[in-house]
Amino acid sequence: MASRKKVLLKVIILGDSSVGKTSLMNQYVNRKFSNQYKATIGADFLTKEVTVDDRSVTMQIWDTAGQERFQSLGVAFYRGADCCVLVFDVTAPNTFKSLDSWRDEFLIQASPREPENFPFVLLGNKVDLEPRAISSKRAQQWCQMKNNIPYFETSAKEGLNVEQAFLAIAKNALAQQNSTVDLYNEFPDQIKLTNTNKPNSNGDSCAC
Amino acid sequence: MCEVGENSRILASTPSSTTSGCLSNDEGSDDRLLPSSLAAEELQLALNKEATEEELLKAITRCKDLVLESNQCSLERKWLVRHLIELRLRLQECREAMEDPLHPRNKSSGVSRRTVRGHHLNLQPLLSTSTKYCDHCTGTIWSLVQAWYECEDCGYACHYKCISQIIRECAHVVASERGGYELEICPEEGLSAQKYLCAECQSPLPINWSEARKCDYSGLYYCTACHWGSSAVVPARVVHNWDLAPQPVCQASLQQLRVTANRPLLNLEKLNPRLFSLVHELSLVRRLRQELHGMRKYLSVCRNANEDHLLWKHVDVPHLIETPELYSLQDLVDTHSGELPTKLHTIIDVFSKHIKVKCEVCRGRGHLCEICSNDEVLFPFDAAAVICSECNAVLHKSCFGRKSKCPKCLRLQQRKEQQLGDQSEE
Repeated sequence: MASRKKVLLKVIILGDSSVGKTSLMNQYVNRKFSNQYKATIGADFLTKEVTVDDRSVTMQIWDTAGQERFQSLGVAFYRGADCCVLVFDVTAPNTFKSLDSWRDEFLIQASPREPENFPFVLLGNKVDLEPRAISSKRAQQWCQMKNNIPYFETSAKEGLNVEQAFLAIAKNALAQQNSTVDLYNEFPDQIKLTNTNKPNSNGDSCAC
Repeated sequence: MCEVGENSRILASTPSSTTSGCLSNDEGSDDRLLPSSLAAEELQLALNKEATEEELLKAITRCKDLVLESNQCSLERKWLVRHLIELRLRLQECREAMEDPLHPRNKSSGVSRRTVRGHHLNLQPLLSTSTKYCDHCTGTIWSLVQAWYECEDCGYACHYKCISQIIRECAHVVASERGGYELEICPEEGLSAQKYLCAECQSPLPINWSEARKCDYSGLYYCTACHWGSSAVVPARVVHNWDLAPQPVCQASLQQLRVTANRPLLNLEKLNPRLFSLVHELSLVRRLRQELHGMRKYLSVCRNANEDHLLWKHVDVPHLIETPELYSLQDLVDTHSGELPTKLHTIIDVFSKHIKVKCEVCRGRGHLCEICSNDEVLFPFDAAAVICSECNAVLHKSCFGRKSKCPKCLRLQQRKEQQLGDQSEE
């Protein structure tokens, strides 16, 4: 069975520019933080070995460019993702408003089999900073509307809640992968059917 | 002067006798080579160029110190003493030459580097085997016996005796100042316009027409000393007529064309865009270069490719991928011969293997066609891909042809409208 094989979890971090995507990833993988801002070009990934529920898994964390000008490079890496992490800056209201469009873009490009059940995790970053613009209540309301997305308030600078958030991300990703694997194993023929259906359903969502 | 007195004393004793008393018979041919322990010393430099008095004095002091520091009877000391002698001789020379401009040392091979009319002339070694002709007087350079110089920038060669009379500016300087080619085909005005004088040396041209030689590049007439009947590919004829046959040109034009052969000076899209539709190889080269230009965007931001120096390891001519609209004359010659397309194909193979197969990061930066939602990863430089001019989305050409508008643009527009609606509600 697939569970004995080495498991690779693909995680995508999305959000507006300078909300702290790269910093969160660096804090989690390297335990380092830098105050200097350097825009990410296109996308790149880091890997980290973690143990989730007594299983050793490799997390491949894709950090992306929030800036529009770097988005001419493609997003083929969305395909096959196991979890999507949405990040906003709790002191910048605009970064919260654009969460919807990041989520929509991701679902269209990644076209997961069950978009409504695809695992997202929301991180409100920079909680060490004042003044706050987005209350934790408002963020949680948004999460409830989107099929109960788990929400964490983090600080990449202080390393606050980062470990916990990524553990939850890994768990959700693993659950997503297991469900897909089971389906593939039990109903190999059905997968083909859903695959042929997928473009149509996707085309509908495009045309809306 | 005590300096001169000391100098002449050392001159009296030959270099070998200075040291042979200490050293056993190892006067091998490599004696004059710098011992490795001293290779780092800068005093060596003073012998390789035209040093000033001040530099020589400094070198002599340094050399003296080193002699005192070195071990008795060592190879270092032997070399240093010889070097000291050479330095003092040169100092003597330098002083005499300064006092008397007609000093023989000033005229002979003692001067290794001269700058005349923009040429950087270097004294060439004697015993050169190839036959050369003087670019000034057209006479043979008997390199066995005659001192001769060559410009390191443009290759202008001349006798030592001709240096002071050089007329032609260095082709490198002329080409750099001009910044482009003459793009009118043989802009001839006729002998009368140049008053029956050679366009370069201003010597009178005989009325006998056959003796006045026309340069196909400049359109001017020259005497036989300035136009040797050499031929070269003329850029104007290539750009307008795709005519790559070499034409007779004067020596000045020949050197200019040689110096600029590899410079990307021709913007064919502007000069003659129809050439691409008429010349099949050229449109192929354009397509390949655009493809490479697209790949460059991926490779220049890829950490794996940067680690391997992939980009510049395979491209010896940067403009080929940096500025795909510019061509050098050599590029066009190589396009005609088929060499350039082959070369570009090889580079493309290496690059696309990295982007599409080897590198996970580059593959991840590819695009997925939103219309067919196929799993195939598309790249903007692919022949089958089309890029939306508004939102940069990359789609299959065939898929895009079926739709009237880019789906991403539609979506972005709808989202904008919705946001505006939300705001007005608030």
